[in-house]
Amino acid sequence: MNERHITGLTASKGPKRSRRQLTRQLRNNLEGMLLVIPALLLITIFAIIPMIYALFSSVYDVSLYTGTEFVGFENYQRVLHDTVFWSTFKTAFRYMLYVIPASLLLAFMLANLMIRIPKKAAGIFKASIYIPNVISGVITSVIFIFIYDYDSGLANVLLEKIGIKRIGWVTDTKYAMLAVAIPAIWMSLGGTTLIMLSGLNDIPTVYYEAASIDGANAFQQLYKITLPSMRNVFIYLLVTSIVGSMQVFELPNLITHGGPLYSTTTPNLHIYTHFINDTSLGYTVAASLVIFLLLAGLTAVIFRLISSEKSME
Amino acid sequence: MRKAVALFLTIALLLVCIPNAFAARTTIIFWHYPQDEYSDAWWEEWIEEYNNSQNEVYVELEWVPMDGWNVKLKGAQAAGTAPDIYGMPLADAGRNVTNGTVLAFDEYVDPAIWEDLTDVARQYTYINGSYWSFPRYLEPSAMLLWRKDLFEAAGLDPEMPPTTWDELIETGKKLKTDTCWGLHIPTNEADIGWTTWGMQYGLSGSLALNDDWSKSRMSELEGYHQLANFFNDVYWANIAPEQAIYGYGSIDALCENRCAMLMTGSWSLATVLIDYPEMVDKIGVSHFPTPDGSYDHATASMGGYCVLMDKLTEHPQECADFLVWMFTRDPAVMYDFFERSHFSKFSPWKSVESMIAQADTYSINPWLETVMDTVIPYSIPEPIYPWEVTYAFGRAVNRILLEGYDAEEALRIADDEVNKYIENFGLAGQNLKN
Repeated sequence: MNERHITGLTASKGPKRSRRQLTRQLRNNLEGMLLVIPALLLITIFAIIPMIYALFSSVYDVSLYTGTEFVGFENYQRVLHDTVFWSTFKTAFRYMLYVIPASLLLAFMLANLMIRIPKKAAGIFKASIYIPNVISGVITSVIFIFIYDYDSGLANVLLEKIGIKRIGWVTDTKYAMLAVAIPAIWMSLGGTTLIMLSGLNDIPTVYYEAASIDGANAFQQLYKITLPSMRNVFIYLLVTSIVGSMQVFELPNLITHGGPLYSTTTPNLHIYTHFINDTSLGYTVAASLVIFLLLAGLTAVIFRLISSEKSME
Repeated sequence: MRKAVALFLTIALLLVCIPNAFAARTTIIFWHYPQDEYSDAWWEEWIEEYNNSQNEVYVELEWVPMDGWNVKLKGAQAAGTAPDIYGMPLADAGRNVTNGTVLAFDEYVDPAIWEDLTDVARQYTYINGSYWSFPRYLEPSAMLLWRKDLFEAAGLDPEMPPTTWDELIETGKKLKTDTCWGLHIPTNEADIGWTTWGMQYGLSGSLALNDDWSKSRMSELEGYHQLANFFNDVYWANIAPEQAIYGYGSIDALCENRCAMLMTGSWSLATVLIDYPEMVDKIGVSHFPTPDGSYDHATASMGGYCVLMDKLTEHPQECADFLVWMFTRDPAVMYDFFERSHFSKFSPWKSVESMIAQADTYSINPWLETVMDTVIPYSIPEPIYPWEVTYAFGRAVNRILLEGYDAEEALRIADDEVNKYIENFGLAGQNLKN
């Protein structure tokens, strides 16, 4: 079998097409390509070229004012031997553990509540729960900085009301991650709930009717109908939350500045701190590329799982 | 048709001439971050005066918020759009010399102007045989402010502040109430690190790095152990908030009855005099307590601000001329600044110092004598080594407070962190010389 057969070119030949048909197909292809060009240009300018430049820069000791010096893989060695760099991944993982389960569980409960209440009330509920989604991370951070004020912040005032000692929310390693996670959950809850709600609405009501006739109780309906039907929604939310959590920056940067003792320094915040403080950009660029590769790998694995036949059953 | 041609020619002529008219005046971009109102007003008014005094140069002052300063400046430097001149803390002159981002003024000014610099200021600006900055003011970083009325209410002598660390903690316990902390000190790692530079030196006889910056030696210096343990003692005495109520630069906690004693810098004195005049009689000022009560060794570092010139500026001569006009042409310009600050800051220029000496400063600033006699003479210049070294000490303190490490182990970890940084960034041998 020659190469033409393998690539399927022979199969696509079929009956001879007229010249007019070929011209029309060519024109269609051309139109498609023209439509793709702007996106391709943007990707080239803002993703491909910077990526090539970053790869090039990562093997140099890049200084903004004093010239550059070729250092080979020295920057990568520094990154890979930096214990703080690796600890940022643990931090991101801790952040995920705080935010994702709580966010999914709360959203699932709220979505279930919303489909059970009257339409008008549900509308108001939806709008109010979505508001934090449209508030910027900066504003959210400022709001929570006030809430975490040691003396007069709402959080400590409430704790004192129930007889618990005040907490140094942003200066104590035990609570700093929680202090970042709470606003993160608050911000993401609206979007997650609405996606869950649309997933719940897609489940045909006849399933539940049939289950009721068969004598299934609410828990059995949840376990046998709702959760399996929502699997792809859960997977989608899980994937986007994991990738989003790995890239979180704004909240820890503004609320805890990555501290105390690096306990809220996420990978992106670590890169940012090096960009601001280092005399050369080599470490920053190399660390960015390593994080990019790790994230790309993680995303590829997750998407591989999602697109597998098993997940589509 | 002729009208249209005439109109076209007129517009073309205007388009050619107008840019030339503007181009005749060189524009200098000057970045500074907003500080106190009086300080910002001083810049704005005198820059306007300078712009009106000649037609060659126009200085465009841009206020860049402090919290976005680093990223904006770094971004501008990366994009080749950095300002021609910019304000910075005094010690950052040294860091910028190391980074190669600033241009020396030697070629652009009469060398005689530098003879007017005080010795302290010269340590900051004269590096590796060149002058790199125009210092604006000096100020000690750490003192103790206390509320006399709250001392009286607690049965303490309002004129007798604690002088030793033990007294400070005992006094704090007596002053603490349900709504008012006994003491307010910094709690985040960066603030713990830099506000104690003076104490680190005063207790140890040196700072964290050895002379050629090849090694961190915090764990070897007894003073660092003492200081770290002092923070631990304050923490466990429960006299200070675990999380600072206000930033280190703020006086508000003291003036709003939320603490009875406050660790802060001399800039706070101007804030009391300007924003809280009713509190002037209720506030006392002293050097920060020491282990043995003596103040004849450093308890504070002498910081301040200066103006630097970007290495890539296209108008170095114009920048230098403007700064000479502001800082050395007429001491009255700088005197105006110190007068506005109620003499809470100190001049790096001898001629201005002389003018200030003629003024009735002690009646304007009732705490000036204390600061001049017990804090300033023993203050040390701020270190110019990278911030990572300073943060490492802050983290050591937090390891003791939050993670239960002992001082020896926490400081050893700090040394390891700094030594790794020295290795990674080739810091050894980079210490700059005056």
